[in-house]
Amino acid sequence: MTAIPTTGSRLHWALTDSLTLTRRYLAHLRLQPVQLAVQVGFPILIMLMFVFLLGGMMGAVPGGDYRQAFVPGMFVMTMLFGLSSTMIAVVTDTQRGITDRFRSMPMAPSAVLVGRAVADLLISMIGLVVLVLAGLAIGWRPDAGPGAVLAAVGLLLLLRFALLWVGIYLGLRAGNPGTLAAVQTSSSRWRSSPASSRHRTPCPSSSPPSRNGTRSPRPRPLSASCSAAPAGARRHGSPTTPSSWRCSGPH
Amino acid sequence: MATAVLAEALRKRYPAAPHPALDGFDLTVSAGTVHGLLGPNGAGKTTAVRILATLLRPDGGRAEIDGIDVVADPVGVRRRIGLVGQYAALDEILDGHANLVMFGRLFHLSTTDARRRADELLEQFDLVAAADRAVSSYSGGMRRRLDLATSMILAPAVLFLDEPTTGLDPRGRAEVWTAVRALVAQGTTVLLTTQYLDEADQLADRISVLATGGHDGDGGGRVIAEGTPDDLRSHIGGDRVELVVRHGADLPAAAAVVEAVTATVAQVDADVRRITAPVTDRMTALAATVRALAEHGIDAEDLTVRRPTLDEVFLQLTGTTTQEARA
Repeated sequence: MTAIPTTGSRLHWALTDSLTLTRRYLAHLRLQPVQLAVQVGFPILIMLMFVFLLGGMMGAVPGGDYRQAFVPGMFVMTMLFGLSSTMIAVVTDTQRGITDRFRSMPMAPSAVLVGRAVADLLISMIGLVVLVLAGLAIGWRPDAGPGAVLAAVGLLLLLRFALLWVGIYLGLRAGNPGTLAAVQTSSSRWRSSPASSRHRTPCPSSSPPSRNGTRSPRPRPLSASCSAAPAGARRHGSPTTPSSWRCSGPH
Repeated sequence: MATAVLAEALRKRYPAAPHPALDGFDLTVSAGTVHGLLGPNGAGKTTAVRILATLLRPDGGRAEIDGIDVVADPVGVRRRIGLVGQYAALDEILDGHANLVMFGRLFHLSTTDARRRADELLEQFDLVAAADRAVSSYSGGMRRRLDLATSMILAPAVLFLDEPTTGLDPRGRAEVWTAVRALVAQGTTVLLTTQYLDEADQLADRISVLATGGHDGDGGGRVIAEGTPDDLRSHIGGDRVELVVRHGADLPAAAAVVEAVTATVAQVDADVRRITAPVTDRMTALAATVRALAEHGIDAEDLTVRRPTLDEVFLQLTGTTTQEARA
Protein backbone atom coordinates (compact mmCIF):
# COMPACT_ATOMS: atom_id res chain seq x y z
CA MET A 1 0.00 0.00 0.00
CA THR A 2 2.99 2.28 0.46
CA ALA A 3 3.41 4.55 -2.52
CA ILE A 4 6.94 5.10 -3.76
CA PRO A 5 7.85 8.58 -4.98
CA THR A 6 9.16 8.75 -8.52
CA THR A 7 12.63 10.15 -9.08
CA GLY A 8 13.81 13.01 -11.22
CA SER A 9 16.24 15.92 -11.37
CA ARG A 10 15.90 18.99 -9.17
CA LEU A 11 14.89 21.18 -12.08
CA HIS A 12 12.31 18.65 -13.16
CA TRP A 13 10.72 18.70 -9.72
CA ALA A 14 10.93 22.47 -9.37
CA LEU A 15 8.90 22.76 -12.59
CA THR A 16 6.49 19.90 -11.78
CA ASP A 17 5.81 21.19 -8.26
CA SER A 18 5.27 24.72 -9.56
CA LEU A 19 2.82 23.37 -12.10
CA THR A 20 0.97 21.40 -9.41
CA LEU A 21 0.54 24.57 -7.35
CA THR A 22 -0.38 26.72 -10.34
CA ARG A 23 -3.11 24.21 -11.07
CA ARG A 24 -4.23 24.45 -7.47
CA TYR A 25 -4.82 28.21 -7.79
CA LEU A 26 -6.48 27.85 -11.16
CA ALA A 27 -8.77 25.17 -9.67
CA HIS A 28 -9.80 27.79 -7.09
CA LEU A 29 -11.02 30.01 -9.91
CA ARG A 30 -12.98 27.17 -11.45
CA LEU A 31 -14.57 26.36 -8.08
CA GLN A 32 -15.26 30.00 -7.24
CA PRO A 33 -16.49 31.58 -10.48
CA VAL A 34 -18.14 34.41 -8.56
CA GLN A 35 -14.81 35.51 -7.14
CA LEU A 36 -13.25 35.50 -10.60
CA ALA A 37 -16.19 37.52 -11.92
CA VAL A 38 -15.75 40.08 -9.12
CA GLN A 39 -11.99 40.28 -9.66
CA VAL A 40 -12.38 40.80 -13.39
CA GLY A 41 -15.62 42.76 -13.27
CA PHE A 42 -14.74 45.30 -10.59
CA PRO A 43 -12.36 47.41 -12.72
CA ILE A 44 -14.96 47.34 -15.51
CA LEU A 45 -17.56 48.63 -13.09
CA ILE A 46 -15.24 51.46 -11.99
CA MET A 47 -14.53 52.27 -15.61
CA LEU A 48 -18.22 52.40 -16.51
CA MET A 49 -18.90 54.55 -13.46
CA PHE A 50 -16.22 57.07 -14.33
CA VAL A 51 -17.02 57.27 -17.98
CA PHE A 52 -20.80 57.27 -17.93
CA LEU A 53 -21.72 58.44 -14.42
CA LEU A 54 -19.05 61.05 -13.83
CA GLY A 55 -17.53 61.39 -17.28
CA GLY A 56 -19.95 64.12 -18.30
CA MET A 57 -18.29 66.51 -15.87
CA MET A 58 -14.82 66.00 -17.28
CA GLY A 59 -15.51 67.83 -20.48
CA ALA A 60 -12.72 68.06 -23.01
CA VAL A 61 -9.21 67.24 -21.86
CA PRO A 62 -6.09 68.35 -23.67
CA GLY A 63 -5.37 65.92 -26.43
CA GLY A 64 -8.87 64.65 -26.98
CA ASP A 65 -11.46 62.49 -25.31
CA TYR A 66 -11.37 61.85 -21.57
CA ARG A 67 -11.66 58.13 -22.25
CA GLN A 68 -8.39 58.11 -24.15
CA ALA A 69 -6.63 59.06 -20.93
CA PHE A 70 -8.84 57.30 -18.46
CA VAL A 71 -9.02 53.76 -19.89
CA PRO A 72 -5.21 53.20 -20.01
CA GLY A 73 -5.05 54.62 -16.48
CA MET A 74 -7.51 51.93 -15.45
CA PHE A 75 -5.21 49.26 -16.93
CA VAL A 76 -2.31 50.45 -14.80
CA MET A 77 -4.41 50.70 -11.65
CA THR A 78 -5.76 47.21 -12.14
CA MET A 79 -2.23 45.87 -12.34
CA LEU A 80 -1.33 47.78 -9.15
CA PHE A 81 -4.41 46.51 -7.39
CA GLY A 82 -3.34 42.91 -8.00
CA LEU A 83 -0.74 43.43 -5.25
CA SER A 84 -3.31 43.03 -2.51
CA SER A 85 -4.93 39.91 -3.97
CA THR A 86 -1.51 38.23 -4.12
CA MET A 87 -0.84 39.28 -0.56
CA ILE A 88 -4.20 38.02 0.71
CA ALA A 89 -3.55 34.62 -0.84
CA VAL A 90 -0.07 34.35 0.68
CA VAL A 91 -1.22 35.43 4.14
CA THR A 92 -4.17 33.00 4.04
CA ASP A 93 -1.87 30.06 3.25
CA THR A 94 0.54 31.08 6.00
CA GLN A 95 -2.20 31.44 8.60
CA ARG A 96 -3.79 28.12 7.74
CA GLY A 97 -0.43 26.41 8.19
CA ILE A 98 -0.34 25.31 4.55
CA THR A 99 2.96 27.09 3.97
CA ASP A 100 4.45 25.21 6.95
CA ARG A 101 3.17 21.93 5.57
CA PHE A 102 4.77 22.69 2.19
CA ARG A 103 8.03 23.52 3.94
CA SER A 104 7.98 20.25 5.89
CA MET A 105 7.55 18.26 2.65
CA PRO A 106 10.33 17.06 0.35
CA MET A 107 9.06 19.28 -2.49
CA ALA A 108 10.95 22.05 -4.29
CA PRO A 109 10.76 25.09 -1.95
CA SER A 110 10.75 27.52 -4.89
CA ALA A 111 7.54 25.97 -6.22
CA VAL A 112 5.44 27.63 -3.52
CA LEU A 113 6.40 31.06 -4.83
CA VAL A 114 6.65 30.24 -8.52
CA GLY A 115 3.27 28.51 -8.53
CA ARG A 116 1.68 31.55 -6.93
CA ALA A 117 3.41 33.96 -9.31
CA VAL A 118 2.47 32.07 -12.48
CA ALA A 119 -1.15 31.63 -11.42
CA ASP A 120 -1.53 35.31 -10.47
CA LEU A 121 0.00 36.39 -13.75
CA LEU A 122 -2.39 34.15 -15.69
CA ILE A 123 -5.37 35.56 -13.79
CA SER A 124 -4.12 39.09 -14.45
CA MET A 125 -3.80 38.31 -18.16
CA ILE A 126 -7.42 37.18 -18.28
CA GLY A 127 -8.47 40.29 -16.38
CA LEU A 128 -6.44 42.57 -18.62
CA VAL A 129 -7.77 41.07 -21.85
CA VAL A 130 -11.36 41.46 -20.62
CA LEU A 131 -10.67 45.01 -19.50
CA VAL A 132 -9.10 45.96 -22.86
CA LEU A 133 -12.15 44.55 -24.64
CA ALA A 134 -14.43 46.50 -22.30
CA GLY A 135 -12.39 49.65 -22.97
CA LEU A 136 -12.73 49.18 -26.71
CA ALA A 137 -16.45 48.60 -26.26
CA ILE A 138 -16.97 51.94 -24.52
CA GLY A 139 -15.09 53.86 -27.17
CA TRP A 140 -11.42 53.85 -26.21
CA ARG A 141 -9.24 53.68 -29.30
CA PRO A 142 -5.48 53.09 -29.00
CA ASP A 143 -3.70 55.76 -31.05
CA ALA A 144 -0.63 53.63 -31.78
CA GLY A 145 0.02 50.64 -34.00
CA PRO A 146 -0.63 47.04 -32.95
CA GLY A 147 3.05 46.50 -32.16
CA ALA A 148 3.12 49.37 -29.69
CA VAL A 149 -0.15 48.23 -28.13
CA LEU A 150 1.24 44.73 -27.60
CA ALA A 151 4.41 46.21 -26.11
CA ALA A 152 2.26 48.27 -23.75
CA VAL A 153 0.35 45.16 -22.68
CA GLY A 154 3.70 43.46 -22.10
CA LEU A 155 4.83 46.37 -19.92
CA LEU A 156 1.58 46.20 -17.95
CA LEU A 157 2.08 42.49 -17.29
CA LEU A 158 5.69 43.13 -16.36
CA LEU A 159 4.50 45.70 -13.83
CA ARG A 160 2.08 43.13 -12.41
CA PHE A 161 4.82 40.50 -12.32
CA ALA A 162 7.20 42.83 -10.50
CA LEU A 163 4.60 43.90 -7.94
CA LEU A 164 3.52 40.31 -7.46
CA TRP A 165 6.86 39.59 -5.78
CA VAL A 166 6.38 42.63 -3.59
CA GLY A 167 3.00 41.16 -2.63
CA ILE A 168 4.50 37.74 -1.89
CA TYR A 169 7.28 39.33 0.14
CA LEU A 170 4.92 41.52 2.15
CA GLY A 171 2.53 38.60 2.63
CA LEU A 172 5.29 36.38 4.00
CA ARG A 173 6.69 39.15 6.18
CA ALA A 174 3.40 40.45 7.47
CA GLY A 175 1.48 37.29 8.22
CA ASN A 176 -1.28 39.24 9.94
CA PRO A 177 -4.49 40.82 8.71
CA GLY A 178 -3.64 44.30 10.07
CA THR A 179 -0.85 44.92 7.58
CA LEU A 180 -3.09 43.49 4.93
CA ALA A 181 -5.76 46.08 5.60
CA ALA A 182 -3.14 48.83 5.36
CA VAL A 183 -1.98 47.64 1.95
CA GLN A 184 -5.51 47.33 0.65
CA THR A 185 -6.22 50.87 1.79
CA SER A 186 -3.12 52.35 0.22
CA SER A 187 -3.52 50.45 -3.04
CA SER A 188 -7.07 51.76 -3.35
CA ARG A 189 -5.71 55.29 -2.80
CA TRP A 190 -3.35 54.84 -5.71
CA ARG A 191 -6.41 53.88 -7.65
CA SER A 192 -7.96 57.18 -6.86
CA SER A 193 -5.22 59.39 -8.25
CA PRO A 194 -4.02 58.54 -11.79
CA ALA A 195 -7.03 59.95 -13.64
CA SER A 196 -6.33 63.42 -12.29
CA SER A 197 -2.54 63.29 -12.00
CA ARG A 198 -2.41 62.38 -15.66
CA HIS A 199 -3.48 65.96 -16.32
CA ARG A 200 -1.43 67.47 -13.52
CA THR A 201 -4.51 68.66 -11.70
CA PRO A 202 -3.80 68.59 -8.00
CA CYS A 203 -6.20 66.51 -6.01
CA PRO A 204 -7.38 68.35 -2.87
CA SER A 205 -6.19 65.43 -0.77
CA SER A 206 -5.75 61.79 -1.41
CA SER A 207 -8.17 61.19 1.41
CA PRO A 208 -10.22 64.30 2.08
CA PRO A 209 -11.91 64.91 5.40
CA SER A 210 -15.45 63.72 5.38
CA ARG A 211 -18.27 65.87 6.66
CA ASN A 212 -17.64 65.15 10.32
CA GLY A 213 -14.01 66.11 9.91
CA THR A 214 -12.45 62.68 10.36
CA ARG A 215 -10.46 60.92 7.70
CA SER A 216 -12.53 58.55 5.71
CA PRO A 217 -12.19 55.10 7.26
CA ARG A 218 -12.92 53.36 3.99
CA PRO A 219 -11.35 55.16 1.06
CA ARG A 220 -13.03 52.78 -1.33
CA PRO A 221 -13.93 53.55 -4.96
CA LEU A 222 -16.21 56.39 -3.90
CA SER A 223 -13.18 58.31 -2.68
CA ALA A 224 -12.00 58.35 -6.26
CA SER A 225 -14.76 60.80 -7.02
CA CYS A 226 -12.96 63.38 -4.91
CA SER A 227 -9.97 63.47 -7.16
CA ALA A 228 -11.91 63.57 -10.37
CA ALA A 229 -14.94 65.67 -9.54
CA PRO A 230 -13.33 68.91 -8.31
CA ALA A 231 -10.84 68.79 -11.15
CA GLY A 232 -13.59 68.67 -13.69
CA ALA A 233 -15.71 71.12 -11.77
CA ARG A 234 -12.96 73.70 -11.68
CA ARG A 235 -12.47 73.40 -15.36
CA HIS A 236 -16.15 74.02 -15.87
CA GLY A 237 -15.90 76.91 -13.47
CA SER A 238 -18.95 75.61 -11.72
CA PRO A 239 -19.23 76.57 -8.07
CA THR A 240 -22.21 74.32 -7.59
CA THR A 241 -20.53 70.92 -7.47
CA PRO A 242 -22.72 68.80 -5.23
CA SER A 243 -20.97 68.72 -1.90
CA SER A 244 -21.72 65.05 -1.46
CA TRP A 245 -19.34 64.30 -4.31
CA ARG A 246 -16.51 66.14 -2.74
CA CYS A 247 -16.90 64.23 0.48
CA SER A 248 -15.90 60.70 0.08
CA GLY A 249 -17.17 59.07 3.25
CA PRO A 250 -19.43 56.08 2.79
CA HIS A 251 -22.87 57.59 2.52
CA MET B 1 14.73 -0.74 19.99
CA ALA B 2 15.87 1.80 17.40
CA THR B 3 15.68 5.48 18.22
CA ALA B 4 13.31 7.35 15.89
CA VAL B 5 13.59 10.84 17.38
CA LEU B 6 16.59 12.15 19.26
CA ALA B 7 17.12 15.63 20.66
CA GLU B 8 20.11 16.63 22.74
CA ALA B 9 20.41 19.92 24.59
CA LEU B 10 18.38 21.83 21.99
CA ARG B 11 18.37 25.57 22.50
CA LYS B 12 16.32 28.21 20.72
CA ARG B 13 15.72 31.83 21.55
CA TYR B 14 13.48 34.04 19.46
CA PRO B 15 14.71 37.57 18.81
CA ALA B 16 13.24 40.04 21.29
CA ALA B 17 11.94 37.28 23.59
CA PRO B 18 12.95 37.69 27.24
CA HIS B 19 13.42 33.95 27.82
CA PRO B 20 14.65 31.17 25.57
CA ALA B 21 11.85 29.06 24.09
CA LEU B 22 13.99 25.96 24.49
CA ASP B 23 16.83 25.71 26.97
CA GLY B 24 18.54 22.34 26.97
CA PHE B 25 15.69 20.24 25.62
CA ASP B 26 16.37 16.48 25.59
CA LEU B 27 14.18 13.82 24.06
CA THR B 28 14.51 10.21 23.00
CA VAL B 29 11.63 8.44 21.27
CA SER B 30 11.91 4.74 20.42
CA ALA B 31 10.63 3.60 17.02
CA GLY B 32 7.03 2.47 16.96
CA THR B 33 5.99 4.26 20.16
CA VAL B 34 3.86 7.29 20.95
CA HIS B 35 5.61 9.96 22.96
CA GLY B 36 3.59 12.72 24.59
CA LEU B 37 5.07 16.19 25.07
CA LEU B 38 3.00 17.75 27.82
CA GLY B 39 3.18 21.36 28.81
CA PRO B 40 1.22 24.59 29.08
CA ASN B 41 1.24 27.35 26.46
CA GLY B 42 4.68 28.84 26.08
CA ALA B 43 6.55 25.80 27.37
CA GLY B 44 8.26 25.34 24.00
CA LYS B 45 6.33 22.34 22.67
CA THR B 46 5.68 23.84 19.26
CA THR B 47 9.24 25.19 19.02
CA ALA B 48 10.58 21.69 19.66
CA VAL B 49 8.32 20.20 16.98
CA ARG B 50 9.21 22.94 14.47
CA ILE B 51 12.93 22.28 14.96
CA LEU B 52 12.46 18.51 14.61
CA ALA B 53 10.34 19.06 11.47
CA THR B 54 13.09 21.25 9.90
CA LEU B 55 10.94 24.41 9.95
CA LEU B 56 13.22 26.15 12.42
CA ARG B 57 16.98 26.02 12.99
CA PRO B 58 18.12 25.45 16.57
CA ASP B 59 20.61 27.88 18.15
CA GLY B 60 22.40 24.95 19.74
CA GLY B 61 22.18 21.25 20.43
CA ARG B 62 21.55 18.39 18.06
CA ALA B 63 18.49 16.60 16.71
CA GLU B 64 18.11 13.49 14.59
CA ILE B 65 15.17 11.79 12.93
CA ASP B 66 15.83 8.13 12.12
CA GLY B 67 19.53 8.86 12.54
CA ILE B 68 19.47 11.81 10.11
CA ASP B 69 20.54 15.23 11.37
CA VAL B 70 17.80 17.86 10.97
CA VAL B 71 20.25 20.69 10.26
CA ALA B 72 22.68 18.82 8.01
CA ASP B 73 20.12 17.02 5.84
CA PRO B 74 16.70 18.68 6.10
CA VAL B 75 15.50 17.15 2.81
CA GLY B 76 16.33 13.66 4.04
CA VAL B 77 14.37 14.35 7.21
CA ARG B 78 11.39 15.71 5.25
CA ARG B 79 11.10 12.41 3.39
CA ARG B 80 10.67 10.60 6.71
CA ILE B 81 8.27 12.83 8.60
CA GLY B 82 4.66 13.92 8.59
CA LEU B 83 3.56 17.10 10.32
CA VAL B 84 0.12 17.90 11.61
CA GLY B 85 0.19 21.43 12.96
CA GLN B 86 -2.20 23.25 15.25
CA TYR B 87 -4.50 24.21 12.40
CA ALA B 88 -5.68 21.82 9.72
CA ALA B 89 -3.30 22.74 6.89
CA LEU B 90 -5.66 22.03 4.03
CA ASP B 91 -6.94 23.82 0.98
CA GLU B 92 -10.44 24.90 2.02
CA ILE B 93 -11.71 25.44 -1.50
CA LEU B 94 -10.67 22.10 -2.98
CA ASP B 95 -12.51 18.90 -2.04
CA GLY B 96 -11.01 16.19 0.14
CA HIS B 97 -9.89 14.00 -2.74
CA ALA B 98 -8.31 16.89 -4.64
CA ASN B 99 -6.39 17.91 -1.51
CA LEU B 100 -4.90 14.44 -1.16
CA VAL B 101 -4.03 14.24 -4.85
CA MET B 102 -2.39 17.68 -4.77
CA PHE B 103 -0.27 16.86 -1.72
CA GLY B 104 0.48 13.42 -3.20
CA ARG B 105 1.83 15.09 -6.34
CA LEU B 106 3.91 17.42 -4.16
CA PHE B 107 5.30 14.31 -2.42
CA HIS B 108 6.38 13.38 -5.97
CA LEU B 109 4.00 10.50 -6.55
CA SER B 110 2.92 9.94 -10.14
CA THR B 111 -0.61 11.13 -10.92
CA THR B 112 -1.89 7.54 -10.94
CA ASP B 113 -0.22 6.73 -7.63
CA ALA B 114 -1.42 9.98 -6.06
CA ARG B 115 -5.04 9.17 -7.03
CA ARG B 116 -4.77 5.59 -5.80
CA ARG B 117 -3.19 6.70 -2.50
CA ALA B 118 -5.92 9.34 -2.06
CA ASP B 119 -8.61 6.66 -2.43
CA GLU B 120 -6.82 4.40 0.07
CA LEU B 121 -6.46 7.15 2.63
CA LEU B 122 -10.05 8.35 2.29
CA GLU B 123 -11.09 4.78 2.99
CA GLN B 124 -8.70 4.40 5.92
CA PHE B 125 -9.78 7.65 7.58
CA ASP B 126 -13.47 7.04 6.92
CA LEU B 127 -13.90 10.06 4.63
CA VAL B 128 -15.16 8.37 1.46
CA ALA B 129 -18.62 9.95 1.76
CA ALA B 130 -17.08 13.44 2.02
CA ALA B 131 -14.45 12.95 -0.70
CA ASP B 132 -16.19 15.20 -3.24
CA ARG B 133 -17.12 17.99 -0.85
CA ALA B 134 -15.15 21.18 -0.36
CA VAL B 135 -13.09 21.03 2.84
CA SER B 136 -14.75 24.26 4.02
CA SER B 137 -17.91 22.21 4.63
CA TYR B 138 -16.11 19.67 6.87
CA SER B 139 -16.55 19.44 10.65
CA GLY B 140 -13.53 20.02 12.89
CA GLY B 141 -13.00 16.29 13.42
CA MET B 142 -13.25 15.56 9.67
CA ARG B 143 -10.71 18.28 8.87
CA ARG B 144 -8.30 16.83 11.39
CA ARG B 145 -8.73 13.35 9.94
CA LEU B 146 -8.08 14.63 6.42
CA ASP B 147 -5.09 16.52 7.84
CA LEU B 148 -3.79 13.26 9.32
CA ALA B 149 -4.46 11.44 6.04
CA THR B 150 -2.43 14.08 4.18
CA SER B 151 0.53 13.64 6.50
CA MET B 152 0.33 9.87 5.97
CA ILE B 153 0.58 9.97 2.16
CA LEU B 154 4.15 8.65 2.17
CA ALA B 155 3.56 6.55 5.34
CA PRO B 156 6.31 8.48 7.18
CA ALA B 157 8.45 6.84 9.84
CA VAL B 158 7.77 9.66 12.29
CA LEU B 159 4.58 11.69 12.64
CA PHE B 160 4.48 14.96 14.56
CA LEU B 161 1.11 15.91 15.98
CA ASP B 162 1.12 19.42 17.42
CA GLU B 163 -1.91 19.74 19.68
CA PRO B 164 -4.08 17.70 17.33
CA THR B 165 -7.31 18.08 19.30
CA THR B 166 -7.11 21.71 20.41
CA GLY B 167 -10.39 23.41 19.57
CA LEU B 168 -12.28 20.19 18.84
CA ASP B 169 -15.49 19.09 20.55
CA PRO B 170 -15.44 15.77 22.46
CA ARG B 171 -16.72 13.89 19.43
CA GLY B 172 -14.01 15.35 17.22
CA ARG B 173 -11.37 14.47 19.81
CA ALA B 174 -12.58 10.86 19.95
CA GLU B 175 -12.42 10.69 16.13
CA VAL B 176 -8.85 11.93 16.09
CA TRP B 177 -7.78 9.59 18.89
CA THR B 178 -9.19 6.61 17.00
CA ALA B 179 -7.33 7.66 13.85
CA VAL B 180 -4.05 8.12 15.75
CA ARG B 181 -4.38 4.71 17.41
CA ALA B 182 -4.90 3.12 13.98
CA LEU B 183 -1.69 4.76 12.70
CA VAL B 184 0.28 3.57 15.71
CA ALA B 185 -1.01 0.04 15.15
CA GLN B 186 0.68 0.21 11.72
CA GLY B 187 4.02 1.01 13.34
CA THR B 188 4.27 4.78 12.93
CA THR B 189 6.28 6.60 15.59
CA VAL B 190 4.28 9.53 16.92
CA LEU B 191 5.44 12.61 18.79
CA LEU B 192 2.35 14.25 20.21
CA THR B 193 2.22 17.61 21.94
CA THR B 194 -0.74 18.40 24.13
CA GLN B 195 -1.98 20.56 26.95
CA TYR B 196 -4.35 17.86 28.11
CA LEU B 197 -3.20 15.31 30.63
CA ASP B 198 -5.94 12.86 29.67
CA GLU B 199 -4.92 13.02 26.00
CA ALA B 200 -1.31 12.14 26.82
CA ASP B 201 -2.63 9.45 29.18
CA GLN B 202 -4.89 7.98 26.48
CA LEU B 203 -2.43 7.91 23.61
CA ALA B 204 1.16 8.03 24.83
CA ASP B 205 3.49 5.20 25.82
CA ARG B 206 5.80 7.71 27.45
CA ILE B 207 5.34 11.32 28.47
CA SER B 208 7.80 14.20 28.80
CA VAL B 209 6.63 17.16 30.84
CA LEU B 210 7.98 20.55 29.79
CA ALA B 211 8.36 23.31 32.34
CA THR B 212 6.83 26.65 31.63
CA GLY B 213 9.35 29.45 31.38
CA GLY B 214 9.29 32.99 32.60
CA HIS B 215 7.99 32.75 36.17
CA ASP B 216 11.29 33.02 37.96
CA GLY B 217 13.59 33.52 35.01
CA ASP B 218 14.53 29.88 34.61
CA GLY B 219 13.04 26.44 34.12
CA GLY B 220 11.47 27.15 30.72
CA GLY B 221 11.90 24.94 27.68
CA ARG B 222 13.31 21.98 29.55
CA VAL B 223 11.94 18.53 30.30
CA ILE B 224 11.26 18.36 34.04
CA ALA B 225 9.82 14.86 34.18
CA GLU B 226 9.83 11.87 31.85
CA GLY B 227 8.30 8.42 32.11
CA THR B 228 5.32 6.22 31.37
CA PRO B 229 1.88 7.59 32.24
CA ASP B 230 1.88 5.26 35.25
CA ASP B 231 5.28 6.55 36.44
CA LEU B 232 4.03 10.06 36.10
CA ARG B 233 0.81 9.33 37.90
CA SER B 234 2.55 7.75 40.86
CA HIS B 235 4.95 10.69 40.87
CA ILE B 236 2.21 13.28 40.99
CA GLY B 237 -0.18 11.40 43.22
CA GLY B 238 -2.71 10.14 40.70
CA ASP B 239 -6.35 11.19 40.70
CA ARG B 240 -8.11 13.62 42.97
CA VAL B 241 -11.37 13.16 44.86
CA GLU B 242 -13.33 16.39 45.00
CA LEU B 243 -16.20 16.92 47.44
CA VAL B 244 -18.46 19.94 47.67
CA VAL B 245 -20.62 20.07 50.84
CA ARG B 246 -23.99 21.81 51.00
CA HIS B 247 -23.40 23.57 54.34
CA GLY B 248 -20.19 25.37 55.19
CA ALA B 249 -20.49 24.18 58.81
CA ASP B 250 -19.94 20.61 57.68
CA LEU B 251 -16.52 21.39 56.20
CA PRO B 252 -14.31 20.30 59.13
CA ALA B 253 -16.25 17.04 59.60
CA ALA B 254 -16.24 16.35 55.86
CA ALA B 255 -12.51 17.05 55.61
CA ALA B 256 -11.91 14.56 58.43
CA VAL B 257 -13.98 11.95 56.55
CA VAL B 258 -12.07 12.48 53.30
CA GLU B 259 -8.72 12.35 55.08
CA ALA B 260 -9.72 9.14 56.86
CA VAL B 261 -10.76 7.49 53.59
CA THR B 262 -7.79 8.61 51.46
CA ALA B 263 -5.21 8.56 54.25
CA THR B 264 -3.79 11.84 52.99
CA VAL B 265 -3.99 15.52 53.83
CA ALA B 266 -6.99 17.17 52.20
CA GLN B 267 -7.01 20.69 50.78
CA VAL B 268 -10.02 22.70 51.98
CA ASP B 269 -11.33 25.64 49.99
CA ALA B 270 -13.85 27.28 52.34
CA ASP B 271 -15.09 29.86 49.81
CA VAL B 272 -16.59 27.23 47.53
CA ARG B 273 -17.11 24.62 50.32
CA ARG B 274 -14.77 22.23 48.47
CA ILE B 275 -12.44 19.54 49.76
CA THR B 276 -9.80 17.99 47.49
CA ALA B 277 -7.50 15.04 48.22
CA PRO B 278 -5.33 12.71 46.13
CA VAL B 279 -6.49 9.09 45.83
CA THR B 280 -4.80 5.95 44.60
CA ASP B 281 -7.79 3.76 43.77
CA ARG B 282 -10.52 5.88 42.22
CA MET B 283 -13.58 3.66 42.63
CA THR B 284 -12.80 2.32 46.12
CA ALA B 285 -12.19 5.84 47.35
CA LEU B 286 -15.40 7.10 45.79
CA ALA B 287 -17.53 4.31 47.31
CA ALA B 288 -15.87 4.64 50.73
CA THR B 289 -16.38 8.41 50.76
CA VAL B 290 -20.07 8.06 49.89
CA ARG B 291 -20.55 5.53 52.70
CA ALA B 292 -18.66 7.59 55.27
CA LEU B 293 -20.56 10.77 54.38
CA ALA B 294 -23.89 8.95 54.82
CA GLU B 295 -22.77 7.56 58.20
CA HIS B 296 -21.84 11.01 59.46
CA GLY B 297 -24.99 12.56 58.04
CA ILE B 298 -23.04 15.10 55.91
CA ASP B 299 -25.01 16.58 53.03
CA ALA B 300 -22.89 16.56 49.86
CA GLU B 301 -23.67 18.77 46.88
CA ASP B 302 -21.19 17.15 44.53
CA LEU B 303 -18.67 14.34 44.66
CA THR B 304 -16.34 13.47 41.80
CA VAL B 305 -13.06 11.74 41.11
CA ARG B 306 -11.02 13.50 38.46
CA ARG B 307 -7.59 13.60 36.90
CA PRO B 308 -5.24 16.21 38.29
CA THR B 309 -5.17 19.37 36.21
CA LEU B 310 -1.99 20.46 34.48
CA ASP B 311 -1.64 23.17 37.14
CA GLU B 312 -1.67 20.58 39.90
CA VAL B 313 0.86 18.46 38.02
CA PHE B 314 3.21 21.40 37.73
CA LEU B 315 2.75 22.38 41.35
CA GLN B 316 3.59 18.86 42.33
CA LEU B 317 6.53 18.51 39.95
CA THR B 318 8.16 21.83 40.63
CA GLY B 319 7.48 21.40 44.36
CA THR B 320 9.22 18.05 44.26
CA THR B 321 12.23 19.35 42.39
CA THR B 322 12.72 22.21 44.85
CA GLN B 323 12.62 19.75 47.74
CA GLU B 324 15.18 17.56 45.97
CA ALA B 325 17.35 20.58 45.40
CA ARG B 326 17.22 21.45 49.10
CA ALA B 327 18.06 17.91 50.24
